Amino acid sequence: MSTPKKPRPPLRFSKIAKNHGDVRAVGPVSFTVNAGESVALVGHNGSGKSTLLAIAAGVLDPSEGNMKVNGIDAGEPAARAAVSYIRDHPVLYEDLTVREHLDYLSRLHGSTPEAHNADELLNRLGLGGRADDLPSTFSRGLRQKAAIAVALCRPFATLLIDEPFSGLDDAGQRALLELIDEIRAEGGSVLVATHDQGALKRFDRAVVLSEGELVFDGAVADVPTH
Amino acid sequence: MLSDHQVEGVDALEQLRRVRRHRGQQDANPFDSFYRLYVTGLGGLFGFYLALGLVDEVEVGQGGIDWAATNSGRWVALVAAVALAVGARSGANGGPLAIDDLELHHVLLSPISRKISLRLPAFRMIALSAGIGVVLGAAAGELASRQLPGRQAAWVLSGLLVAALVAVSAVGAAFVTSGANWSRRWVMAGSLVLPTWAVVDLVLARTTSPTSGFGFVAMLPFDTNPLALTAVAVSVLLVGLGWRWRGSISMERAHHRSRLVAQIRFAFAQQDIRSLLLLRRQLGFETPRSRPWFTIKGGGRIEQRVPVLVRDARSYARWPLARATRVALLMVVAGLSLGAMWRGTTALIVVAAIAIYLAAIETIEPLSQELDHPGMLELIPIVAGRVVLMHVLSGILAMTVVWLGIGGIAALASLDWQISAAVSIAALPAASAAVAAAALSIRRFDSPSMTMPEEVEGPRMILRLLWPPALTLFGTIPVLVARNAAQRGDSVIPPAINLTVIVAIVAAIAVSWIRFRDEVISATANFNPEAP
Repeated sequence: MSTPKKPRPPLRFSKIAKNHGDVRAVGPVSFTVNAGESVALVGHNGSGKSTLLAIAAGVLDPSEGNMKVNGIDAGEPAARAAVSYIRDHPVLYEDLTVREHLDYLSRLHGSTPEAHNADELLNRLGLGGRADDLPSTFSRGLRQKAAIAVALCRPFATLLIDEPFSGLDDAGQRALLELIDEIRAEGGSVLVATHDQGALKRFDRAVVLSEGELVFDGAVADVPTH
Repeated sequence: MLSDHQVEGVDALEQLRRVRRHRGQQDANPFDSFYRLYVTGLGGLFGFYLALGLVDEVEVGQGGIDWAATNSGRWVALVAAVALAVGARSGANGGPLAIDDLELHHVLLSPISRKISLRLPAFRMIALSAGIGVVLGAAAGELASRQLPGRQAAWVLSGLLVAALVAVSAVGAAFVTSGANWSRRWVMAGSLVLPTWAVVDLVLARTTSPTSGFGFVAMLPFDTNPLALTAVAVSVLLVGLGWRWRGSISMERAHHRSRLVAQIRFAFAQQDIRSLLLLRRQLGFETPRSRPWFTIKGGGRIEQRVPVLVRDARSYARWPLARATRVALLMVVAGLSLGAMWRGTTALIVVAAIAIYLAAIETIEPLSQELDHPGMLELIPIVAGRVVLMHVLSGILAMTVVWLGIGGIAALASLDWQISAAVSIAALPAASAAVAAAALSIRRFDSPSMTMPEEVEGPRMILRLLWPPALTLFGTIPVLVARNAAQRGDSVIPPAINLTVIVAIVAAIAVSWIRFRDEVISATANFNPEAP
């Protein structure tokens, strides 16, 4: 009797290292993010959190090791389809309204805003009344919320978020944490780079980086305090 | 074959581009666009008719025609080789497309094939480069037809053909190196092969380099050489490969470029040479060496007495290889140009001055670093002007070494050691003028801002751009005067000394302005009771 194939993890970092010139910024680092799991990537400034997220999104090439998304090399079309990436600063078209963003970007991914309950999503993020406004008129927090809506209004299996809580008010933070819980409950996975110690308890696992090295990978409750 | 999702995505992409273009056109001020077109066209026509006038004034003679028939093709081959090298390097640095951050994040990270999403921008870039090549090439052909035998139409046609082929080949080379994702280091080193080969051909009067075909195309009105077809083959190969590989761009390099290109455009619009230089270095991944070429121990007596000079020496010790090579190349260009000037091609003194000015901008790096952080300068309990002056002095020392190197190369190029004497006499004041000029091109040393009528702002802007290179050119005049003396059979030393004294006075005034600028502005402000 043949044993069923073990499903490939949504994200697998295998001995990933990144150099900037002759300086090593990260690694080598190895860990996986499994389906239905939310993982917090924690560390001080310059520890390599954003670099690892950008490598997983296919924006940066690793200097060593390999990055697999559902068993496919990061950056390949199928990997890009599987990953939704929110950068630390919102990337939004100044000449499109929020609703036009959702319409355009979900179609770019072969979907429609209706399939992702766009109106409800906007309401939950507190953007219901601003859907037809241009993001250029928004504050930093509202832009961050718009970027979250754009990233969630498309099909994906894994959500990557870089510093999601910066600039968000309490209601926005709560809404985002609820949305992350829902993604997990539906079998999706989430990898979040954050400084926010308060939000850690909402995640299944924490990966702690220090000066580019992985120093801890385990349950959130066991994260070292320093 | 595209999947339904891909087709839907491509439709969405095309629709968005239409909407954005339409909104962009709605937002754009048609008067502004027309005015820009008008100024560019007028400037182009003015430059063309100026060049026509200059060309018509020159009497080429049979000797000149023979020279052109023998050598012009090799010069065109060299230009083509340099263009291909520039293209290849641009591709290795994330070019040739400057994709904005939004397209990068939303479109290139979407599952749509990058080959499809980059099809339109790539086509536009190739078409635009061909168009620019046609216009410039036709103008060059017209200029050539004024002096060289052959039909005007033939020169114009060969000019536009060769320029268009060179332009699209350079863009094609950029797409090839970008799509192939070759190691940057190898591309940078490999890009020197073609220009070096073309220079060797030029010196040895041969036509063996792969870009020789472009020269044959340019010389078609003189001689129909079937090897001209190799230029077409090179262009088709590069554009074809580049077009095929356009979708394999490195996201990392494209991201790096997209971040910098917008800043470079802004700095260019502001004529901020320092920012342009810094951004250009970032584009080329040029960072100071973490292991210096030489080390200077801290805390010594020299450091206590002249800390600024020691700090500057540490800065030079961390020059990356690329910067050191660039200054060495500029030194060679300046030396060869001065050597050619000594042998009679007077106009090349301008090329020498530009090379010296660019080298001086590199040598004032420690001063520029200091001025990049004005807050730190204000925290030092010494008058800022004194610190700045010490940085200028270290720049002058470094530039004097460069100047002496230029003299040696010029002597080798002209086979006349008298030029070394002239360059040595002028070295210190000319280096001072070049360093002062480079420092004055930093925005901080602008003349104090005044409310000027708008009509005066344009000329003031042009003056601001031209005045530093002009000061550097002035520093090289003693060598020109010495050359004239040598041509008359007189001693080169007395006229060189006479002019050097004048250069020294002008350089001293410029350095004094740099040293005392803050005090002068502050005194002027105190004098004016209405000043803030």
